[in-house]
Amino acid sequence: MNRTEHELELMRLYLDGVASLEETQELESLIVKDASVRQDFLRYAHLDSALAGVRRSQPSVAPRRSIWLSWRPLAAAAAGIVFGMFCTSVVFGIVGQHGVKKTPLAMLQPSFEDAQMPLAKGFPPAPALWTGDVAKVVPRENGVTPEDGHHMLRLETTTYGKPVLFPRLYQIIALPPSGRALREIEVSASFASADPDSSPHYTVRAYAVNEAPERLGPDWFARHWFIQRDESIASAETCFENPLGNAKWQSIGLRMQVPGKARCLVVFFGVKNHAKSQARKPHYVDAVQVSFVESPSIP
Amino acid sequence: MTNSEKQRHDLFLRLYVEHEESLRGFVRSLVPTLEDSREVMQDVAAVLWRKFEDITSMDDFRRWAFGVARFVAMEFLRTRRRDRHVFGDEALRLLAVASEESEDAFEAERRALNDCLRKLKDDQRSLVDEAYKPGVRIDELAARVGRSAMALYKSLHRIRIALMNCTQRVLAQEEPT
Repeated sequence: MNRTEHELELMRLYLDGVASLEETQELESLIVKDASVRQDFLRYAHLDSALAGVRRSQPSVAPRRSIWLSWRPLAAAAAGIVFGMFCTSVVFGIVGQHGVKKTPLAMLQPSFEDAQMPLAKGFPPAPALWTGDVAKVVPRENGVTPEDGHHMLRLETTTYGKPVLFPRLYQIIALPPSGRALREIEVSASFASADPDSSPHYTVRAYAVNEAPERLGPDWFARHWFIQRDESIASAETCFENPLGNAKWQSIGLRMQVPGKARCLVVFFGVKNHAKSQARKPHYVDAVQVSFVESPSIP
Repeated sequence: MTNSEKQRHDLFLRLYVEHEESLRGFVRSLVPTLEDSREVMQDVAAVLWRKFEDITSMDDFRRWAFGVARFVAMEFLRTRRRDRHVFGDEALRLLAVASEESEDAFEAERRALNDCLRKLKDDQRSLVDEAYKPGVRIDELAARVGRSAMALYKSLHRIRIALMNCTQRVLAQEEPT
């Protein structure tokens, strides 16, 4: 980047909201006259915006049968964690924690064993239903064997004008009442791709909201989702870029502290291919787990 | 909500998610301070959904969304942040055009950022984590860590420059030879 210190400082001053009128006008003049300044200013702004998506991270525990160590670089394995891009949480940790008690939350078909399982489009109309994009419960296919049981969920890839593919999956989970101020919840799922030559991003998100389960649904989603998503009483996201050539299952998980008053947890699983990817082969999800986690207190 | 409304909503979400990060970056370029840009993005999403029925071709979604974002950002600055000095119309138009044209490039940089964040020193990473938490004020953070606000602003600036240079290097290495 061939920008002078002064030009970069002008960009900082503007984006920090402390630029004077003269400094703003100087930067504006540069942006109008010089396409390279314009581009670098946008890069600076986009980077700042992206960093805002990086939340303080905390490790979460590897879901069962995690096989990522087979390809994970040793350094990252030793650290036990790897940061996802723009993620609120670490992808997952290296080993299970002694004394951690997990209580699974009731949800529909966590391992997609019912081949007749209905899957509606869009946001769930009620709790305990999987909804999302075009998907189907399938047995082993395309060289991918289910991670858990005999079936898995195949996420189709569709496009809208350009090859950015983002199949999604939702479920609303009702949270039982609790007198505790905070509860810790772990959400995890396993992802695989039928196309080892693609390098998709796998995403897990969870949002805790105060709304009662019966009040959630497409109407609520349409009215509140974007605002609730930022103002939900707790939220977490993790994502992971599957390396080229990796056809194995990847277990991805997050942990979040949820206030006791939360009534529902909306879990989201998504896959996004690179913008330039021409891949059209499906992705698979299996072995979804959502659990309350109780860690042993520090002596 | 009828079936057709659900389909429309589903289509909207898909398109919005596809362009959300680009829109956030664009709005950030228009709106001084991160907190304000977060607020503007909430308004942008709400207006996009409210006006989605006006759009006639989905191929136009990106251009339309950037136009809406620009309008909402300027309205926000005009009515609620009159104290800020902001760019004029021509600069905004050029930034919108460049943002649209470079959407793929910015997405590639966001991907490369993942690698670059891991290369930060621990204290740099901690500063990024703390400074970018929602609602954090730099002056308050500075007081907490015993440094001046200006020193923190400068440190963050240096980290951002380093990250921008790093993402360029990462992407250059990915280019096929």
